[in-house]
Amino acid sequence: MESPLQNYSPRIGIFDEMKNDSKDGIDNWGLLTRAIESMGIDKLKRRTLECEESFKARGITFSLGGQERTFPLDPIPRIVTSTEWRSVELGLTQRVKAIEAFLDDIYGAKEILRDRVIPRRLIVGSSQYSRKAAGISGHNQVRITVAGLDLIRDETGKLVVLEDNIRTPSGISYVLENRRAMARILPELFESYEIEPVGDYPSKLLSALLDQAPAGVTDPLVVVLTPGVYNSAYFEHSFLARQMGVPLVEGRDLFCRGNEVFVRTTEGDLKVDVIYRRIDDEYIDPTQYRPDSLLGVPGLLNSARAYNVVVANSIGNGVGDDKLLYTYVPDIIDYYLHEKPILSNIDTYRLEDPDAMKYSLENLDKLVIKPVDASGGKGIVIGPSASDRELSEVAEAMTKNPRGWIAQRVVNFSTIPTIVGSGLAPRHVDLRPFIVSGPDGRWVVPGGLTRVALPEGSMVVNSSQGGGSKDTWVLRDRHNRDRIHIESQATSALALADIDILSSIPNSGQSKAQLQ
Amino acid sequence: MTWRLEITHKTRYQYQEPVYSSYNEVRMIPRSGGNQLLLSSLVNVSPRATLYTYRDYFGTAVTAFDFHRVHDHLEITAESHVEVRNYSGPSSEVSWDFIGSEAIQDDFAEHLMVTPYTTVSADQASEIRDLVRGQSTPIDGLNRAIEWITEHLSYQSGITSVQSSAADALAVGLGVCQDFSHATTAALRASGIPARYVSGYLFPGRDPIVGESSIGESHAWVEVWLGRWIGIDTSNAVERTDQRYVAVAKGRDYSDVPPFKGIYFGGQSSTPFVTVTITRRQ
Repeated sequence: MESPLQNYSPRIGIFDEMKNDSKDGIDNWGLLTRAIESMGIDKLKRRTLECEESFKARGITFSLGGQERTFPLDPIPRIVTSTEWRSVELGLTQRVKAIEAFLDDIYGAKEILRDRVIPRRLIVGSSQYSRKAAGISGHNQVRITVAGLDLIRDETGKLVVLEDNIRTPSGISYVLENRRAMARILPELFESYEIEPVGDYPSKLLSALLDQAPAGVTDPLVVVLTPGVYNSAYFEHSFLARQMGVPLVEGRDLFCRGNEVFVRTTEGDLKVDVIYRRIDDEYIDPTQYRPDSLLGVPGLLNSARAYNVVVANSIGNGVGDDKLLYTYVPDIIDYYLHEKPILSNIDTYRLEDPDAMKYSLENLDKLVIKPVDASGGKGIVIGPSASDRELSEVAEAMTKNPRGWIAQRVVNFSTIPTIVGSGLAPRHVDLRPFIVSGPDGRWVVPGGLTRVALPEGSMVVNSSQGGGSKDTWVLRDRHNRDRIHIESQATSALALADIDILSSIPNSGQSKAQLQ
Repeated sequence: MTWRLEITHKTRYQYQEPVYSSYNEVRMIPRSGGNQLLLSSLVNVSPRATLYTYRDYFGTAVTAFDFHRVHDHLEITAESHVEVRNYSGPSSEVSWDFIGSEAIQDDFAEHLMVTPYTTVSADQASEIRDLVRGQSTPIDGLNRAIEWITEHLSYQSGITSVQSSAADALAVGLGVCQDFSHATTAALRASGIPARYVSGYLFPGRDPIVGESSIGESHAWVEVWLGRWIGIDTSNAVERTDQRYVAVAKGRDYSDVPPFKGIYFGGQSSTPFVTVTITRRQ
C-alpha cells in the first residue's frame, strides 16, 4: 500500500512542523507517522468519524449562524517537544504577569503613563478602558484568571504571539474533549509516546477561583455565569461548570442585595462568592453598562467593588488585549518585570504614525489589517486574499480612525499534515495555550488548542470561519535528554527549563537573575 | 472672598404603580479640592436603605443603594456644608506652543477626546478651531470660544433633552446648561484646549444675606486647562466661576457625572420633584 505521506509536500518558504522535525536530533514525529502508515488513512478517518458522532450525541458543539456544529477534529496531532514547551511556558507566564501588572496600574496609579512609556491617549482612548471598573479588584492581584494567547509558528519555526486574549477566551473544552477522543482514535500511540496530560484543567481552574474568594469566606461558592444557550460557547460554559462541580447560572438566576450576590436555588437563596463569568463587560451589569441588557446582574459591579464577590476575569481587561496595545507589550514586560520578552511579537504598524499609515496604505494587499478592539477574527482583512472593494473599504476606515486599526506583516505560519480526502496535505495551524492564574501562581495547560485552517492555503483558523482543531501533544521530558541539550545553549532563555513551572512561578527577581 | 454654604438637595420620585426593586446611584456630595472644601455631608433616602459610598474614576463621591420591597416613592435628601473661595491668583499666561506641545496634549488626552455628547459637525469643528487658534494667546482663544458659543446658543429649556449632544443643541441654537457645557467643551477640545464637564450647584444671588435660604439649582459648567483649571459658565455668560459655584462631579461629559442614575423593576415613574436650597452660613 502506498504511504499516505509519500506525496506530502509542504509549500516552499513555509515551515512544516513534521518535515522540520529532528532539529534536536530526535525523531519526534517518527512513531506517529509510522503508526499512520501502518493503519492507513481510511481506518483513521473511520475512527475519527465514530468519535465525531459521539461528540454530536453529547452536544459538543458551537453554534454558527444559529446552527449547532461540531468543531471538526483532525486526528493527526501536533507534537511539541518538552524543550520548546518549557520556554513557551515561561514566555506565556511572563506575558500574562506583565499584562496583569499593567492592568493593575492603569486602573490605579497609572505610573506607566506618567513615565510616558505608553501614550496616555492610547489607554484613555480605548473603547475597552472601563472607568467604571476602576477601583474594583486588585484585592488579590489576580485579574486574568484565564488567558488564552494566540501563537503562530513563523517561517523560521519560531513560536510568536499573534494576540493576547484576556477577556473571556474560549476553546479549552475542545482541548479536553480532543484529548479524550484521541485516546480512542490512536490508543496505541498513548503507550509509545509520553504525553503531558491536560485533564487537570478543571481542578486547576476551580482552585484558582476558590483561592480568589473574598477574605474571610471559609467555604466559597463559585458559579459559572453564561449568557445562555444561544451563546456560541455555551457548550464550554456548561462543560466547565459540570467538570468543576459548580452551578451554571444565567444573569436571571442571580441577584444583588445590599452589595451581596445571591443565586436562587430550590434550597433558597445562597450567597455567591466567586463568579467565573463568560459574559462580556458591556452586558454584565445593566446599572453601569448597557441598561437594556437582560443577560447581566444589576448591582454586580458595586458588589465586586465592595469585595463581597469576585468577578473573574476582571472587568475592564479588554484594554489589555487591544491590538494597538499589543505593540507595547515588550515595553510593558520591561517596565514591570525588568525582563526581556521570551516570546516575540509580529511586526505591527501603528497607524497613528503618519509614515506607518502611508506605508500600510501603499502596501495594503501585502498586509493583514485588524480592528484593535474586536475578538474572534471579526473585521480582519487579509490583504493578499481581499477583494479590491474590501481593500478600499478598509483603507477608508483606517484613514478615518487610525487609532482603531493596526496593520501586520502577513506571516505564513506553519503547516502540519492534515487529512484531506484520502491522503494527507499540509494545512496551516495556530495554537491557543491557556494560562490559569490564581493568587498562588500560574499554570499553563501543556499544549493548548491547535486550530487548523481546512481549505487549502487558508490561514483563517477561527471556528466560526471553517476551522478545525487538532490535539496538541507536549512530549514528556524522558531521561532528561532535552535538558542536556539545553545546557549547551548558553545564551538561551531556555536555561530556565530547570524551574518546575507547573507548580510555581518564579518571581521576577529569580527569572531576572537566570536570564542575564 | 470665602463663603460657607449649606446645600440641601431633595429629589422625589412618585411611582404611579408599585416598584418591586431598584438599584440607584447618586452623585450629590460636593468635592474637596481647588477652591472648595467639603466640611460635612449626609445623604438620606426614603424608604430606608443601607448606603454604600465609593469614589469613582474621576474622584467623585458616589452613594449607592438598592431596594427589594414594594415601594411607591423614592426620596433622596443630600445635605452638605462647603467652604468656597474665589480664586485670586495670577491669570493664565500660557502660550499656544505650550498647550499644543506633545507632552500637554498627551497628559490631557482624556479631556481632549471627542465623546458622543461633545460631538460637533466637522465644519463647525474646523470653523471654531480656526477662530480660536487665530487668537494670539490661549486666553484670548478661550474668550473667543466663549463668544462663539454665546453667538450660537441661546438659553431655552424644553427644546433639548438629557440625551442631546452638542451638535443637536447647536443645530437648533437653543439649550440648557448641559447643552452649553457640552458645546463649550466640544469647541475647546476641537481647538486643542483641554476641557472638562462639571456638575454641581449654583447660588442664585450675588450678595447673599448670612442665614437666609435661597432657592438654588443644580447646574453644569466647564473647566478649561490653561496652566491650571479655570471655570467658565457659558450658559450664564460668566467668564470665571467664583464662590457661587459648588462643584460635585467632573468628567468628560454628562455621562460621567449624572446626579441620579438607577434602574427599577415594576411601576412607572413620573418626572422627579427636585429642590435645591442654599443658605450662606458664614
